[in-house]
Amino acid sequence: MNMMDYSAMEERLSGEYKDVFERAELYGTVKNVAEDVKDDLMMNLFDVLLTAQEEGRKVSSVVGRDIERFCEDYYADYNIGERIKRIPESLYRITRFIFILEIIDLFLIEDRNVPIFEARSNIFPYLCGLVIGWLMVTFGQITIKPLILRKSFVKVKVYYVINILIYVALIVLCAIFLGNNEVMMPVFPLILGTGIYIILYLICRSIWRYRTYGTIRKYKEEKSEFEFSIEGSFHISNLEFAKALLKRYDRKNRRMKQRGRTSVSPDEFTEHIRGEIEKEKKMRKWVALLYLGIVIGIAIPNFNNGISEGLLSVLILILTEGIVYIIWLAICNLSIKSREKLFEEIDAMGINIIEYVEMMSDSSKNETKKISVIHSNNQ
Amino acid sequence: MEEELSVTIVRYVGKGGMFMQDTQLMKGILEGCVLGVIAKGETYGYEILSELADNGFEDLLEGTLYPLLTRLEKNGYISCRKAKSPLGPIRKYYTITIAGKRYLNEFKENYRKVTGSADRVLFSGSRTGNVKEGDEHDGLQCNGGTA
Repeated sequence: MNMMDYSAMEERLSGEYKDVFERAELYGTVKNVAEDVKDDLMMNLFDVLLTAQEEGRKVSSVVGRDIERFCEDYYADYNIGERIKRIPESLYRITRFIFILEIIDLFLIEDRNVPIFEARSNIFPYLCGLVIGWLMVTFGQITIKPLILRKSFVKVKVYYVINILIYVALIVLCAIFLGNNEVMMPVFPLILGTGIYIILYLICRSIWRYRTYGTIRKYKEEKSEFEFSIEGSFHISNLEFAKALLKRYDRKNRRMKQRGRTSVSPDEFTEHIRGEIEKEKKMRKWVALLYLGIVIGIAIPNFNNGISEGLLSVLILILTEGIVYIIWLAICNLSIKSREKLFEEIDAMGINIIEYVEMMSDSSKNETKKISVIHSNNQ
Repeated sequence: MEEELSVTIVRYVGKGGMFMQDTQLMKGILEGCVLGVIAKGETYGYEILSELADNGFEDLLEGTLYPLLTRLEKNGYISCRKAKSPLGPIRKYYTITIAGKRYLNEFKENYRKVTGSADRVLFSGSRTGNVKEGDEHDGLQCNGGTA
């Protein structure tokens, strides 16, 4: 999962600096560079470009005049050897996806009267997906140099839109003209094969992690370094979040003023936001209870058909509803963590949100002035 | 000692001269020079780029530097720690390791030897004890025949 907030980074760059950053990011995407490698490269490039921008140094002195050559050199270490190393992980993701889908299909959707060894699945959509994916990668690799790097007459955002439109068009065409086609294969070998690969991969990965880090603790330290990288994007997003809070503060005071009430002070507003974070933390517990309630509520009637039936439905519900709950929880935790870190920064500096935004927005002076003007008008 | 190295580098590398276009030669020199900059103290990519540019490596770009730093780190010559930069993004700060210092010393020694020899060949005067143009000789040809 790509945790880098590239759009927030781009907001802080301007002109040629932003252009180079966008093109380098697109190059990495089209070349299918692994996400962690690309995040590392892009964070470094962002740091260099931002520093050059602040110092008024020309972009060409940092990346040269030939953006194509720059991208090729910059990503040069991500060569065929590195790609081959990543194949098992890519296969793991694909097999995990197929495994979960087939399990859901077999136990939730298919007629359960069909014995598992006789059940069959249509794998044509998977094959279509692989072909479409390959076509899109090939299209991107062929067009990026003449359109984006060498000629640079197509804007990066336009190029993304073109890619998305072609992707959607291919899916629609497949659905219309090939939708009735079937490639049936027995489900059991498919589930067994993908399941065995997943288990083998997880075992090998655990062994590798143990050999590399010695203990799980060291692996967690390495993982926390990755989360530190996420922090880097949080730091950038913090400013955007603080600006959004400031706008909210200004809107609130405007309304208070219209109603003839006293404005809320920055400190009062900060405490109010802290209170919101505490409420959201409590909400996580209530959502967990709700999730359990839904699972139990739906599963209980199935126990009328027998204990095994009931237990099977509980398992399926835990898996399916659980995925949704886990995703929601991850987003919620990330959001709470980023806001808590923002307040930690503000508390450490002994300032309030307004002062924080003004301090961090030196490079975005125009926007900051705008917000400050709104703020001073409210007061 | 390091001043001598810098002066020698500028003399040989020049500013956009033909030497700069010799990619293989540049690669070998760059690695040592980057290590030389890092050996002065903990630093980061942009600072390395600026310092090398100030010393004549104006054509050195981030596209060359970052992969080089990655290779040096993989080889264990430098270590890296991540920290927030003053402007906000996470920045990698590099420090030379003991293995890196050893490698740098070897590089400096080899560089001194090579440039010393090249100096003598390229910038010395007449050839000592050898036949000059117009001198008589015993007429031996390269293939062993006589003139």
